[in-house]
Amino acid sequence: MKVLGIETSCDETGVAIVGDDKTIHANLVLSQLKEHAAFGGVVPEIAARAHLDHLDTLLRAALDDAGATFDELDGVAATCGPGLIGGVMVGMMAGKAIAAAKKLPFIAVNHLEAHALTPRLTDNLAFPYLLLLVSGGHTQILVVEGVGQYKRWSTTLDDALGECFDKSAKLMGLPYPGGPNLEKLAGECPDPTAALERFDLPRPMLGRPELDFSFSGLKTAVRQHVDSMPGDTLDRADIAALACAFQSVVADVVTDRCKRAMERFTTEYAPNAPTLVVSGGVAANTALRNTLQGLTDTMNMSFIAPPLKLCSDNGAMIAWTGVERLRLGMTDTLDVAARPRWPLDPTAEARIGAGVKA
Amino acid sequence: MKSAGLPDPAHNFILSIDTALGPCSVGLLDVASGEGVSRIVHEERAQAKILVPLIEEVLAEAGKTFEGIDAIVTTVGPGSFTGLRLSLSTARSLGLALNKPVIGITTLDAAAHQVLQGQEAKTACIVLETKRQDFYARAYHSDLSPMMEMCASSGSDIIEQLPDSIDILSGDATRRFVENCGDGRAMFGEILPMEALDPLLLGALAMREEIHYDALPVYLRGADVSSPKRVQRVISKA
Repeated sequence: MKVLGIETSCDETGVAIVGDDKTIHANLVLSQLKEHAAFGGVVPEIAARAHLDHLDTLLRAALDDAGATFDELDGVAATCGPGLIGGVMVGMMAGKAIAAAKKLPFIAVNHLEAHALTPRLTDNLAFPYLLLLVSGGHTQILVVEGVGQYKRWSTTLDDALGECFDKSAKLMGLPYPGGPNLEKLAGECPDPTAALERFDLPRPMLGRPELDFSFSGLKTAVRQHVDSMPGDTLDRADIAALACAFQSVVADVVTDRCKRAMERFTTEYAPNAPTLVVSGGVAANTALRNTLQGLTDTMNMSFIAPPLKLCSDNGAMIAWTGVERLRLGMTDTLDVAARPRWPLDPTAEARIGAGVKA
Repeated sequence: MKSAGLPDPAHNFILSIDTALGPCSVGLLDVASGEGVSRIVHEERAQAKILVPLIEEVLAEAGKTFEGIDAIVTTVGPGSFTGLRLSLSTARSLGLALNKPVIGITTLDAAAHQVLQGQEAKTACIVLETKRQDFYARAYHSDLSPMMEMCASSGSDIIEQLPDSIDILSGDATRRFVENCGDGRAMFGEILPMEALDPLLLGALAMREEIHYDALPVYLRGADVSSPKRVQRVISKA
């Protein structure tokens, strides 16, 4: 079985072909970094324009990479939400058109489910598992019970972690994309302990019994520290220290939230091989990965972080979700609508302030 | 402009798609007979849901399959930003999957051909909705050659570009245009509002190579962006 996957929900155009034997026959991602760099962040209309410009070239190239034709496909999967709707539409319509023309089943993929199921593509992971989903748009802890079956235990009440990274990086004078640049500069800090003492930063939600996140206060604290730095230009060593302290408090908060979730997960689900998975763009952050690895080690849980290429947005995770759903007969009709908001767990209690990030 | 040649126009079935004007319009034209099947659905907000099933419906009614399509014509704008994305992504992906040419026609050219069809020696100005203050516009001589470049301009700027009189004002923004152009109303012989493009006429424009465009969006304006308000501080070199 081979499924074509199309991802266009943010600033990456992704096309992939993945088999049910987990072979990734093709996985092409075209990032629009240059298009957005001048604006310091993703501009929805530029993203929507760029997806349309690049998608068919990528489709052609993915087929070439896989040495396949449309006739050899068994299904077409496309992200239909959540995300920037102008971009989502481009990929969704392309997927529907190809499915119609080739009489193939169509799978309308929830982008969040694709992040959630990625560890089953990269590792032989059975349900249920605990998932920390951290991206530019979402920060959630979920139990993945099965395909299409999720329990959302928590969400951010304001900014997503990736958003907090990007906005803080911007305040620190770092170029877009902020997250990776912030991580890089933090690595230059010679004395992380001193950095933490020097910059007082809040650890929002630390110790609270509910599992939610909040990051806007942290971003504000970063702003205040940067504003109080003298001179026109920012001193590189100062910013490196601030970045280092920032990453450290983020790690503290995420560790605290995950530790509580892991305890609850082992109690409520008593899984044979308890596993924590981190997925989404922020899962590319090495400091965060190391922290979570250490935490799971002390708690006798396994830890899975998909390879970096499959953590950020990509077509392979969409194609794989297509495989998972197609195997279960969970296909969609060609009249599905794009969904800018599409929670994985529609029964989860609404959180004030969480908005589309829930 | 670009031509996308058809192997044998006399034996072709042309699929046409327009979602740039608001409705969802799909047609399948049998070039040999000049007849075909067409559908126009006035549900702008549901275009993304309706479009592909509508194509399937038109094909089924015509007794054809996707393999029976010889070329695809799509409007390339100017028009609704989302609508353009839908029709172009659909048309280009169909072209890719079926290995058939995709021909772009501007909404303004299509509207001009539609309104001047069967009219003798008349000139026309097409005004289309931008959903902003301005209008997409272009005026045409009676032989359908354009009098001006396509533009996204205010009512008064458009009128300045026009000759003293134009026989027909048409498009989906005629009412708003007339309200905006004050005394300018008098220069138009008649006003023929247009709700939708005729899908079969759009399909027939596959035979008019001189107005073919690549299947790329025609925006006539830059992306809607604003630069960051806060000036970013600069980090000193290491």
